[in-house]
Amino acid sequence: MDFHNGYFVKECENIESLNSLRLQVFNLIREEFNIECDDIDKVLNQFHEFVGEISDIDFNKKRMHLIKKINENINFKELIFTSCKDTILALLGPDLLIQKNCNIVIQRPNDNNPSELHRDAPGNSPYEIVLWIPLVDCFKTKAMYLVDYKSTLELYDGLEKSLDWAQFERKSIKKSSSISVDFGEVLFFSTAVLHGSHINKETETRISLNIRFKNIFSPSGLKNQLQFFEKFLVSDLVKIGSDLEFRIQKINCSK
Amino acid sequence: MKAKTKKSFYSCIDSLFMGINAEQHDVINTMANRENGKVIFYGAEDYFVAANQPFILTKLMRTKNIDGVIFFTLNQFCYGESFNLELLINILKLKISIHFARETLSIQNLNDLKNKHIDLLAYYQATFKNTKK
Repeated sequence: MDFHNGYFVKECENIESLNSLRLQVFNLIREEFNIECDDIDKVLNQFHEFVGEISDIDFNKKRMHLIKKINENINFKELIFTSCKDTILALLGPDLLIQKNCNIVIQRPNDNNPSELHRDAPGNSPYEIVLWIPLVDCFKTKAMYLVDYKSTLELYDGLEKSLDWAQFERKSIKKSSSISVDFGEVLFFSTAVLHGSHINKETETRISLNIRFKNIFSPSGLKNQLQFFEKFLVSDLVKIGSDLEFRIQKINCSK
Repeated sequence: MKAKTKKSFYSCIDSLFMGINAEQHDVINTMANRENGKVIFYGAEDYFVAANQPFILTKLMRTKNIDGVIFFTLNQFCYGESFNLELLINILKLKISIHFARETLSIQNLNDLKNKHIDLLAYYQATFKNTKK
C-alpha cells in the first residue's frame, strides 16, 4: 500500500463481514425510518425518497437515535476489523485501540449541511488512521474529497501567512480530489490531511460509516484517549511486559 | 424490598487542572451518581506536590466508612516522572475502589487493576511520555 499521499482506497479483505455490517445497519435504518422495502441497494441509494419530507430537527433526532442503535446493537468493531485486518495491522501494528463509537453520515441529495473542510489532527492524533466505509457506491459529489498530505502542508503554510480562511478554503478545494469509493472498498486516510464533502448534487443518497484506529502506545491527540478509544487488540509481548511490570510494582509496594 | 445502600466516596480534584473547581466537582458528582453513591469528603493535593500526590493515601487511611475514591482524571497519576502505579496499588490495598470521573473508568480491586494496567499505561505513554517534554 502506498500511503505517502496520506490516503488510499483498498478493496476490503472480507466482503462477508462488510455485507453483514451493511445488512445490520440497513435493518436499523428501516426500523428507525419505518421503511418497508427490503431491497438494500434501493433503500440505501434512494433513502431520501423513502424518507420524504422531514424537518431537519426530526431527521437529526432519528439520525442520533440510529447512531445509538448501531453502537449498541451491532458488533461493528469486529466486523470492520475483519474487513480490513491485514491493512490495519500493517499500518499500525498488533497493539490497537479502536474508537468507542462508530459514526454514520447520511448525505441526501442537495443536503445543505455537508462536512466542512477540516483536518482531524491535532484534535485527533496524527498517528491515527481513519476508515471511511461507504455503504453505497460513492462518486463525484456523492463522494468525499481529500487533499493530499504535501498539498495540505503547503496550504497551511499559506494560511499561516495570510490568515485568510476564505482564500484557504478556495485553494484547498482546488487542490482536492473527489475520491470514488464503491461499496466493498474502504478509504483509509490520515488525520493529517484536509478533507470534507460538497453538497451532494447526485440523485442518490450517500450513507457511510467512519471509525478510527490507533496504536495503543503512539502519541495521543488533544482528545482524551481513554474517552475516545478503547483497547481492541494486544500482542502477547505487551501482555507479558505489563504482567511483569505489575508484579514487580506489587512486590515493591509490599516492602 | 430492601433499599439499596448508597455508597460513600472521597473526592480528590486535580490541583493542576486549568479550570474552575466547580467543573471538576460536577464531573465527580456525576461519576458518584453513576456508581450509586455520593461524595461525602473532599480533598486535593497541594499545587506544588500534586505531581506525586503525597497527601491522598494517608488521608484515605484515616477516613473510615468510605467505599471508594473518585479522582477527577487519571492525569493525576501521570504528572510525575513515571506512571504512579504504586499509589494505585496502595489505595486498592485499603479495600476501596478507585474511579476516574473524566475518563468514566473504575477500578474495583487489585485484580481489576491488573486487567486494566495496559489501558492505563498506554494512556500515560501516549498522552504524557510522548508529547510533554
